[in-house]
This record gives sequence, C-alpha cells and structure tokens, in this order.
Amino acid sequence: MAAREIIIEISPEGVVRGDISGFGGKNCREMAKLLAEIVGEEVSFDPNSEYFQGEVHLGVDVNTDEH
Amino acid sequence: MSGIVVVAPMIVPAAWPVVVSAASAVLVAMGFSAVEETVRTIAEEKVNLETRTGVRQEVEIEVKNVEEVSSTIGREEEMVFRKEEVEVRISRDVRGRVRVCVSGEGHSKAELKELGETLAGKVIQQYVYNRLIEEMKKRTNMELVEQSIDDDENIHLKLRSWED
Repeated sequence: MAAREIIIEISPEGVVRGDISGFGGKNCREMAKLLAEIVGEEVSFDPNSEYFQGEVHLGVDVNTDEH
Repeated sequence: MSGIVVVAPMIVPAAWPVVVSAASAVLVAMGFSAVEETVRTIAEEKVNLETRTGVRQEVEIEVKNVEEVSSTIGREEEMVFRKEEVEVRISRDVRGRVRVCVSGEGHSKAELKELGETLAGKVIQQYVYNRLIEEMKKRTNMELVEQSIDDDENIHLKLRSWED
C-alpha cells in the first residue's frame, strides 16, 4: 500500500500551506480544492512532477498532406 | 510530492460556532476568563458598559478575513473575556463582520491595539486549525498522525491515509 500525505503549515495569521503527496494528478488537485473550500480562498497551486504521474498524455501528429 | 497549495483564511458566517470555540481556546490559554455567559447579545453588553466607571482606553479592530453577506444572518453576538484590567470583546454583527474590541485601564491605545491584533491573528489561526481537523475528519479518510508548533508559532500538521 502507498501512503498519501498532506503536510500542513498554518501561519500565525491563518494562512495555510499544504504539501500534498502520493495522490497524483486529478486527486491531488481535488484535495487542494478541498483544503481551499475548508479554509478560505486558494492563493496558488503548484503541481510538480509527481502530479502528472498516473495520467496518460497522448501526442498525435496528423499529417493531412495527400499524395 | 504532488503539489503545493497555499490558501488564505476566510471566516464564513455559518462557522461562527467555530470562531466561538477558537476564541475561547486562545483567550483562556492567554489567561483570560469568560465573563458570565460565553455568548451574549450586544444590547446586554451596552447596558453593562454604561454602568462602568473609571478612565478606560479602548481600541476596535475589524477582522479582515471574513466573508460578509448582504442579508442578515441572525442576531448580533458577542463574547466577553477579562484578565485583570483588560477586557476583550469579540463580536459578530448581523452581516457576519467580526470585530475585536480591547479595553483597559493603565494601558496605552498602542498597547491595546497590539494586543488586539495579536489576538485576532491567533483566533484566525485557531479557527483554521479547528476547521481543518473537523472537516478533514468528516470529509476524508485521512488521519492526523503528527502535530506541533514551532518557535515562530506556525502550527504543523501531518495527515496520512493509505491507498490500496
């Protein structure tokens, strides 16, 4: 089993910084949105490399030249 | 890591009970005592103020991180705490605006303002902590596995769940 973790820092002014790990992609974004919904307003969201893991990205080159 | 989110706090009117709980925790920890009822109406408090004697300095601070509503949300409410000659009143008006009023004898306005701003910050921090603990427990399967406060008074929490 893999661990999912959120490390939260609440500043003396109440600003929250949430370091979300182990979720990956869409679930990570959903968790960030949930934190914002609970606390207040999202100021920023910075995805990193793991954020994109588990998501499939397809690149398709279409050649429309007819010979 | 997957991502880092930064969120600014915003007190929603429906969460007033969480503010009451946060304010009580902060002020009691700082040596204040709740005066009579924990929550009473502003009208009742005004009567008490009029009967008081002596020269008292007073400052009022409006808490900025509050979601104001256009319609009324119910009656005005106020909590009153006292420690020696200093009295702190935290109130909510009918539009949800929250104010911290600090008064006391033998203190300058600057001292009372500094105390009020410190209290307002601590109440917001405690409000955010209470909301996070309560809502994350209710809405996710994540468990609180660590918590601490550092020298700069930042609260640190670690929540964890296991993915099958």
